[in-house]
Amino acid sequence: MLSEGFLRRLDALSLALMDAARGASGGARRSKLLGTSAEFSDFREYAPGDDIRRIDWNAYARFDRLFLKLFTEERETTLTVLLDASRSMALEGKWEMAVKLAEALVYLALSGGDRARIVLLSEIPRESASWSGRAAYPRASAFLAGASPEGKLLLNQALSRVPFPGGKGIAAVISDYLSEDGFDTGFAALKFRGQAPMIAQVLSGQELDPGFEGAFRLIDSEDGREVRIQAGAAAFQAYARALEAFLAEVSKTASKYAAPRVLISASGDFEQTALRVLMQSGVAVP
Amino acid sequence: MQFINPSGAWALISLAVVAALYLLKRRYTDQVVPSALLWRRALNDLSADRPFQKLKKNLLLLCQLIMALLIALSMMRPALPGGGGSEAAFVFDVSASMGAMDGRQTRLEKSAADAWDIVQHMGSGARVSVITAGGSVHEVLARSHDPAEVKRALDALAAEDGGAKVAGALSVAKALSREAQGLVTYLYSDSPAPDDTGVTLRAPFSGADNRAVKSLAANEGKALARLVNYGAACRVTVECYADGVLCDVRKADLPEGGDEGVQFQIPEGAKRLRARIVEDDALAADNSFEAAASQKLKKAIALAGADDVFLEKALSLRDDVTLVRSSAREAVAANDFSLYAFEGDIPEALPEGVPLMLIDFAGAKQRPSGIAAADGELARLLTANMPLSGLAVRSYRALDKGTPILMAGGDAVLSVYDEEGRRVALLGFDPHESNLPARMDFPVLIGNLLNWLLPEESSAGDTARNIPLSESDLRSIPASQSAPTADASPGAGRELTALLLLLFFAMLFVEWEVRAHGR
Repeated sequence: MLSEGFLRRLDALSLALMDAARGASGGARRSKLLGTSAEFSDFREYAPGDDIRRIDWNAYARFDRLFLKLFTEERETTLTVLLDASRSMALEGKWEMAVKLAEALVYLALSGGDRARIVLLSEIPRESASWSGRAAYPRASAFLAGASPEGKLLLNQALSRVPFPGGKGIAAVISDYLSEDGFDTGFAALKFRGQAPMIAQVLSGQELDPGFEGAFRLIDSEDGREVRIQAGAAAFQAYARALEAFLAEVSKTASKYAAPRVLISASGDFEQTALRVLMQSGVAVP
Repeated sequence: MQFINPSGAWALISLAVVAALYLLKRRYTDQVVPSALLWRRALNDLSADRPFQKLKKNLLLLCQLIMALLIALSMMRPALPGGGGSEAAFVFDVSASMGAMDGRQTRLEKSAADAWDIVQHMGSGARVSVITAGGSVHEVLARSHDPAEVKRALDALAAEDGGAKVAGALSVAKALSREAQGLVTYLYSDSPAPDDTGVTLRAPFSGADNRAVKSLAANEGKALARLVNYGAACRVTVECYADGVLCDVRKADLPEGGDEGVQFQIPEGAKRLRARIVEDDALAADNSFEAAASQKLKKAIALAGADDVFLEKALSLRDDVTLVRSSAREAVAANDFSLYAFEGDIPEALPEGVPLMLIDFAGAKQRPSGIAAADGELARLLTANMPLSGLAVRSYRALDKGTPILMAGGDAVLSVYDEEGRRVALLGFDPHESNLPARMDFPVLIGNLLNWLLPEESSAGDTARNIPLSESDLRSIPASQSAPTADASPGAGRELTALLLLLFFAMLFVEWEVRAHGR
C-alpha cells in the first residue's frame, strides 16, 4: 500500500487520459460528446431538429438569429489496470514496482471520480470488482496484496481476451512486455473495444543494464529455456542493441495507438520517481 | 634441424595443458532471469558475428598452442645443421682403460665411431680437430676440412698403456676455441669431465667387470702376485713366467670387489718375471704384470789400453755401467762384457758380437787444420751439444771406413759403423795428443758414443710395461651429455632459440590483439 504522504501528493494530480474515454453514467471526466452538463462549451446556429430548449434567446434578441448553446457533457470513465501477473514479473523487484504503479493509477482514477478495476493477466486471469470513490482504494490495494505472479503469459493473447463490461474506458497495461507473442495485436484489440490504452513498462535493473561477468547459463523463469552467455563486451553490445530495438518497438506501439508510455526501473524508489515519470509521460496532469 | 637440448621436449606437455585449459575453462553459472527473451534476440544478433567469434576462439587457441610450441622448441634449442661456421674439437682419452672391450669394439673404437657420426652430421664447411690425451697430449688433427682426413685420424686412434692427461688436452682445445669461434668440444672418456670446462662429455659405452694383476714381487725363489677383482666373485688361473718361460700355474678365487695374493715358485737366477691371468676379460692389458726378479744388472765395460783417466771418467758417467780396467788380452779372454773399449793397443782378434770403441791412432801423421762435425743425421746425433770450436789435434789417421762423425778437412777422424751385428766406433787420433780430454766436449762425445754403442735398455722396473691400477676399474661410466653446456651442438650451425623467442613475443602480441579485438 502506498504511503499517506505519497497519496496526498497524488491528490494534486489527475489522470489525463481524456481522449475517447466515455462512460455510461455521468461523472467528472469530460467527454467529447456535447451534452447537458452545466459547463458551456460553444455556440452554433440552429438547425431543424435541434432541441429548441438549448436555443440561446438572448443571442436571438441581439443578433436576430437562432443559436444553440453547446455544453460539454461530463461522464465518469473506467480505468482498467491490466497487470501482468506472470512469472517473469516475480523476479528482481518488478512485481513490487508494478503493484505500486497499479495502486497509484487506481488511486488517481478513484480520486478523480472515475471507476477503476484491476485484471491480473496470467494463465488464469483474475478480475477485481469495479470500484468507485476514493474510499475504495484500500479494497483495490488489498486485492493487489493478495495477488502473486505465476505462470506463463502471452501478452497479445491475454489482452485480446480481457472483457470490458463497462464499455469504453482507459486500459493501462502494466507489464515488462517481454512476451514471446508480442503485444501489438493486443493493443489493437484494446483499441477496437473502445479502450484508450496506456503503456506502463516495468523492467528490472539487470534487464536495463546487465552487469554480470563470466560464463552464464540464463534460465528463463517462465518457460525454463536456457541461453548460454559468455559475458563480454561483444555480448553486452548485442544485448544493448536488442534492448534498444525492443524499447523502440514498445515506443512505436505507443505512438501507433496514441498511448502514453511509462518506463519504470524496478531498481528505483517508486515514490521518489513515480510522480515525475507519470507527469513526464503525460499519464497524469496537475 | 638438430636440437641442442632434446630433453627440453618435456615442455611440449604445455600444448596439452593449453588445450585442456581451453576445454575446461567454460564453466557456466546458472542464473534464473525474469525473461531470456532479450538475450535470445541478442544471440541472434551475435549470430551474424558468430563465424568471427568462432574464428576468434580458434585463433586464440591457435595462438596459445603456437606460443606453447615455441617455448617448448626454444627449450630444446634447435639449430641449423652444419654451416660454414661449425667447428668441433674431439678430445679422446687414450688411456689404457679406453682399450677395454665393449662388445666387439673397444671403448676407443666406439668413441671414434660416435665422433665420426657427429662429423657426418656437420656441414661440408665444418672444421674438425682431433686431440688425444694419453701419457702426453697430441693434436692429431688440426682444424681439418677434409672428412677423409678426419676418418683416417679417428681410425688411427689407439689406447696407450698409461693414464690420460685430459686436462692438458682440454687446455689445447680451449686454446683452439680462441681462434675458432663457436667451437664445440667433445670429450670421449670413461672418466668424468673436469668441472666448468664447457665440454660435452660423451661416453658411448658401458661399464664392465675386470680383473687385473696389481703387483708382482720376488724373493728367495718365490714370487707373489696380487690380483684385484673389479667385478663379481670368480675363479681365475694365473700363470707365472720366468725370463719368458712358464714356470708355475695357480688357481685363485677372487672375492667380489676384493684382491687376493698368489704365490709362485720361480727358478733361481730368474731375471724377469711375468704373472698373467689366463681368462679373458674386458681389459686384457692389465691381465699381466712384469717385474724384475732381482736388482737391475749393470752393464760391464772393459777398458783396455794405456791409462786414460779422462776416458775412464767419461765411460763411468752412466749409472748403469760398470767399468773394468783390463789388458787387451784379458779382456778378450773374458768375453762377457757388454762393450769393449780399446785405446792404442788394438788386439788382432776382437771379441765377437759385442760393441767396440776403438781408439786407433797408429800411423797418425796427418796434421789437421781444424776439426769439425761431419754432415749427416748420425753425425749430428753423436756430436750433439758439442761446441767443437777450438778443438785441436796434433795428428790423425784418415779413416776410410764407416760413417764420418768428425772431419779434419776432407778426412774422417771419427767414424761409426755396424759390423757383424754389432756397433763399432773408431777414433783416428790420440786424445792425449789433443786438447779434447780437457774440454767439455770430451765427456759429451764419449757419452754420445756410449749411448749409440750401448743403448740404454728400457728399464725393467716394476711398472715399466704395466698399466696404472687406476685404469683397471671399468665398472662406472660417467653419463654422456647429449648437449653441450656452453656452446652449440653436434654439427650445429646457427642456433635458432633467439628467433623462436622473438616469434613467441610476436605471437603474444597477436594473441593479445585478437583477445582485445574480440571483447
